[in-house]
Amino acid sequence: MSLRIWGATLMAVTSLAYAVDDGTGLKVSAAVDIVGTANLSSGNAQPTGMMIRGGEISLTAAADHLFDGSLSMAAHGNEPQIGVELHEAWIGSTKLIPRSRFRLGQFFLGIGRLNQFHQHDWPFIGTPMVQQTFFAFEGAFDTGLEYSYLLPLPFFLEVTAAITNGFVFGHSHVPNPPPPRIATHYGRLATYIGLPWDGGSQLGVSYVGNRSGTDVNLLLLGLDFTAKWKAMKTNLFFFQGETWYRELTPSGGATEKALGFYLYPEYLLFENFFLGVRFDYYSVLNSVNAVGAPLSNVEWNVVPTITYKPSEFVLFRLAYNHRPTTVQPFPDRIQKYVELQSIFILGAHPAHDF
Amino acid sequence: MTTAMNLKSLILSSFALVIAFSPLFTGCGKDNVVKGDDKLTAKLNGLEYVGLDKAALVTTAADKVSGTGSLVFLNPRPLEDSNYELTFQLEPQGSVSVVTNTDNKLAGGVSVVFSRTAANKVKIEILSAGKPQDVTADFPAIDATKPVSFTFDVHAHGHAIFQGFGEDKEYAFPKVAAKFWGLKLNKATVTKAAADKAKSAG
Repeated sequence: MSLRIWGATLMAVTSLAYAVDDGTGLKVSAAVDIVGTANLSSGNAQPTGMMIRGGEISLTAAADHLFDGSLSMAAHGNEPQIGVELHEAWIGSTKLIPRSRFRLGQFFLGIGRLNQFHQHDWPFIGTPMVQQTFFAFEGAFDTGLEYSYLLPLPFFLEVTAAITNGFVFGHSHVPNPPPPRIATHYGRLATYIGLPWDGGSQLGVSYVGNRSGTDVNLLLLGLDFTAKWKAMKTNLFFFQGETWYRELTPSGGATEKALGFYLYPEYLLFENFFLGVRFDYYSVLNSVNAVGAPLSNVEWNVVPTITYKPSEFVLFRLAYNHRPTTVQPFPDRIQKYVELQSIFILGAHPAHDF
Repeated sequence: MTTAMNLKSLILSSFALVIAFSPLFTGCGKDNVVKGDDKLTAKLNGLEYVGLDKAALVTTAADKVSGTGSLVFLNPRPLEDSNYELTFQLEPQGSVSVVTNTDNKLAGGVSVVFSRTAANKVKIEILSAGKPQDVTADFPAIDATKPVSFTFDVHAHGHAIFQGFGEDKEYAFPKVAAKFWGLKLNKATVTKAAADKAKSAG
C-alpha cells in the first residue's frame, strides 16, 4: 500500500479522534516512532540515517457490555516498500467467564515481556538480539485464540494457553505459506511478587511450539522478570529482563540450539530524565562446521541509554551501542553506533498491564 | 494460608529450577551432528569445502571446480540472510545449483538452479520444499555457452533477491532454518563462489 493510502488512512482515523468524546468509550491513538542511527564503525547492519521506524494507529473500546475489541495498524519506514501492516485485530472479554480473559483474532503472542508490547512502548530503542532472532524486528504476532485464567489462589498466578495458525512464525515474506504440520501453540505462567519498599515484580515462564509446513520444528522456552519501584506514575527504578532458549530442527537435519538474554536496569536520574543500560547476549550453543568441529558463536551488546520523558505522550532517547561479536571462522569485530529516538503519542493510548 | 504460602514457594522454586538448569542446555549440543564424508577437501576462492560424494568433482586449480558432484562449504554462514556470488560455465545439458540455508549434507534449504537449455540459454529456477519456481522469464535471455555471473540474496525468512538486472527481482519461498551452503554441479565449471552479508534489507 502506498504512502498516499497510508496518509489517507491516518487522516480518516484522525477524524475519528474527534469522536472520542461521543460517550462510546472509543480510544483512538496514533503513535509515531522516529529513530536515527549514526555509525561509529564500518560494516554495521543499519545504515547511518533517520527513519520513521513505525507509525501506528490504534482503536480500542468495549464493543458491548461483555466484549472488548482492538484494532491497530502500523507502517514501517525500514521496509523496502512502506506498507500498512495489521498488527492487532481481536475481540475478547474479561467478563464472560469468571476469572478468565480471552481474545480471538490477531494479536502479538502473549509470551515473554517484550513481545506483548508494541515497539513504541518498549523501555529502550533497539531490538535485543534474542528478540530479533527468535521472533522478529518488533515481535511475533499471529491469528488464533488465547485464553488466560486467574487461578483461585490467595496470590496472583495466571496461566495462559493459546493456539494460533502457525503459517509463519515471526518475520516472513511468503504470501501463501504451506500449512503447518503443528500449529503454533504456547503457554505462559505469570505471578506477581511484592518487593520491599513498595516495589512490585512480575515473573513469567513461557513455552512456544510449532512445526512449520516445511517440517522445521520450533521449541522456545522463556523466562521474564520485570520489577518496578514507583512514586506516583513515575518509575524510580525499573528492571526488565528476559532469557530465551530455542531449538530449531529442520526435517532430518541437526538441531540448532541457541540461547539469548537481555537485562535492562533503569534509574530516575532527576525529574523526567532516566538512565538505563541494556546488556544483550546471544549465542548459538552448538555451532559447528561441516565436519562437526565446534565454532565459537557469541554476541554481546552493551547499550547505555538516556531517556527524557516529559510526559507519558512524548519521549526522547539517546543510546550508544557497543557490540562485540565472535562468530568463527570470521574475524572478531565490534560494531559501534549511536541511536536517537523520538516517540510521540496522539490521543488516548490504552494502559498496559503492570 | 500456610498451604498457600507453601504452594507459592513451590511455584517460585520451579521458576528457580528453570533458571538453574538453563546452563545445562549448553552441554547438549553435539549429539545431532553428522560428520561429512570428507571425500574431497579443497578450496575455491579461498573458501574451504568438503566433497559430498564420489562423483567426478575435479578441481583443476585453486580458483576452479568442475565436473559433476556436490560440495558443502566448510563453514556455515554467520547469519541466516546472506548474499551469494557465482560465476560458472555450463556444458550442454549441464546445471549448477547454489544450495543455501541447508544442512551439511545439502538436505533441505533453498536451491537456486541454473541450467543450460537445448536452445543454449540459461534457465533459472528456485527450488524450495520440493517445489520449483521457474523465474527465467523475468530475466533477459542469457547465453549459456559463455561464462555467466549472478549475485543474489537469500533471506531465510522467505525470499531470494536477485541484484544486477535493473530493479531487484524478488521471489518468496517458505521459511528455512539452517546456515550451511554448497554447490551441486552437473557438467559444469564454477570459477567463483562467494558469500557475504545480505545486500538487500527486509
